[in-house]
Amino acid sequence: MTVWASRLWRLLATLCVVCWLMPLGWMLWGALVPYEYFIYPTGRLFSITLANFAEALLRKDWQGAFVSSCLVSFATTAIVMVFAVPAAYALARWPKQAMKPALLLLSTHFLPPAVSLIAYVIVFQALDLMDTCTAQVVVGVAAQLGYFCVLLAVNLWPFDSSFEQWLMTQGATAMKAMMHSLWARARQPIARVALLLSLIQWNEYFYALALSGGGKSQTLPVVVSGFITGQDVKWGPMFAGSAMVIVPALLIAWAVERSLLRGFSLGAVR
Amino acid sequence: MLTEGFRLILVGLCVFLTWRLVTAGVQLWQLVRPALSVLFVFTVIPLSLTLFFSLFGIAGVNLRSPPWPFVALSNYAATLTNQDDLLACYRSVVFSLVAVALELVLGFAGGLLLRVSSAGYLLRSLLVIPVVMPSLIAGMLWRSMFDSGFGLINRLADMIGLPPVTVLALGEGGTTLFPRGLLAPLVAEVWQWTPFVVLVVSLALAQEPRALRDWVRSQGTSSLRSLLHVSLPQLAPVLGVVAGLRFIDCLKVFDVVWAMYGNNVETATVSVRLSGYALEIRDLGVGSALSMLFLLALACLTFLLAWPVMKPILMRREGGHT
Repeated sequence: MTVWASRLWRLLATLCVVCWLMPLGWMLWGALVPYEYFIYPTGRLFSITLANFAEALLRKDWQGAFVSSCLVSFATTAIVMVFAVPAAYALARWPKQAMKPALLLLSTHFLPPAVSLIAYVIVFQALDLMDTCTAQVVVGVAAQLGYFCVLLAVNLWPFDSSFEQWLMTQGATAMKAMMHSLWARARQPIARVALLLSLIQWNEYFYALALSGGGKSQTLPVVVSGFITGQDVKWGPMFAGSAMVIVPALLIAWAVERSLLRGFSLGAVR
Repeated sequence: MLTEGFRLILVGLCVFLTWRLVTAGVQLWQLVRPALSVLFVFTVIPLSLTLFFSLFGIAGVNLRSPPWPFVALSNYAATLTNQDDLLACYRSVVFSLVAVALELVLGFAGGLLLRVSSAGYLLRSLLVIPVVMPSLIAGMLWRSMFDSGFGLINRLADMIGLPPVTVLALGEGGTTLFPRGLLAPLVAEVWQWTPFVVLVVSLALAQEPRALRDWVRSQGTSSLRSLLHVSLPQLAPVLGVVAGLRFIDCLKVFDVVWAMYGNNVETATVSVRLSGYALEIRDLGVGSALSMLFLLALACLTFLLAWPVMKPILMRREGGHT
């Protein structure tokens, strides 16, 4: 390919990406200009304001939602990882026998969460757990554990167990050898997968909406959707709030980009 | 009181399972079993409860006061004769099929473009943004883009002189093959997830062995032919996995539809409908029945779709044994 042809291709690709991402520019524009100007962009001078961000941040439910969001995504990730790390280690270390347990774990991912929603609602109502972060964490663990066991296993595989065997010849117990080996060689993939899970949980909306009816345990996406009141939508603060929800997720995504793609495609790309 | 009790039980369960984990030996099943037990408690039991609840009339005054009256299969009859429920199932399935097809085609083309232009790190990083935003926000964003008053699309259409785009307007009635109300959610979904397919395809193409590509080129094969006969077969497994996972995710679609229409009978997918049963209509018996029927339909559909893929693999495995 000549230099010119390759430059042309690159220009084309850039143009396509820019066009595709135009809605994001629109969102930032809506967040940064005064509402009246956003709706009727005529006459008045162009001016940039942070008032929309302030309005979103100063809503009385925003801070509570921030705490709930952090709490739910952190607690879910922690609990899932406690159970997923040993399971994934086992799946990666004994891949020949791993097919059956892996399929068993993965099959739960094929279950739409909505199917169990009503059972959860009835049980949580009976236990007076509606509108608590506990309920969201329980459901989050149920929805993500199976998939993340397999995903972590895919990230650890192939796992060479000679280090454990050497440690055990030195007198370590099997448990200790496993711990040492995981710490020495798997802490990076584990951290990346944990970040990915917290990102997914941060974005979760369906259960967050359904289980936080009263408003005490609302997470950030639920609050953002709360900017719709009847027919009136406060677009400016809504876009500002959305931008603030996206930023932490985006930082995580850029930190673990390759794992993110591998994660969403269950390890189909390496 | 009850809440505290439940929390205690939960914490106790976690502690017990962790203790089992630490004290058990290091063997495959011993390490996997705690995760499986957690999943059993939180997935299989709710599912069995759904089946159980679907046999009772849980609505109206007796919502919070068991014992509920036993109604046998009349909840299922109510669901099967309710056109809105059936249409919701149909919408979920059609939405998923069309969305996945579009994402795959556009994603493949985009991935090729990125590969050919050897696009840099910046473009890839930008393409990640839609993938990691909450799909609720993607839905809201497109709702504002399509707005008939100030939406960007209509402003552009106005500028060029095209008639206004009214995808968000409903009320045409009638059932078309592809429900009109799903068009706007479909755009949001495709917009959000195509970049993911693009990135996966371009990554997979980049891992194609260089020697193979050079050899194919040295044979004088046209680039289109080498694409169809060399690259595509190599990508097939990756695309298959991506298509499967996207299809499952699309069947669960809730956020984008909810962001645009809320709980609207004309546009509801199964998830929207179920959340409506649980939170607004508050007829939990019929809702449970709909859940079970949808699950059954899904199982059949998954089997039908997966069979052409699985069959050769199974046949080959059997052939390998003999």
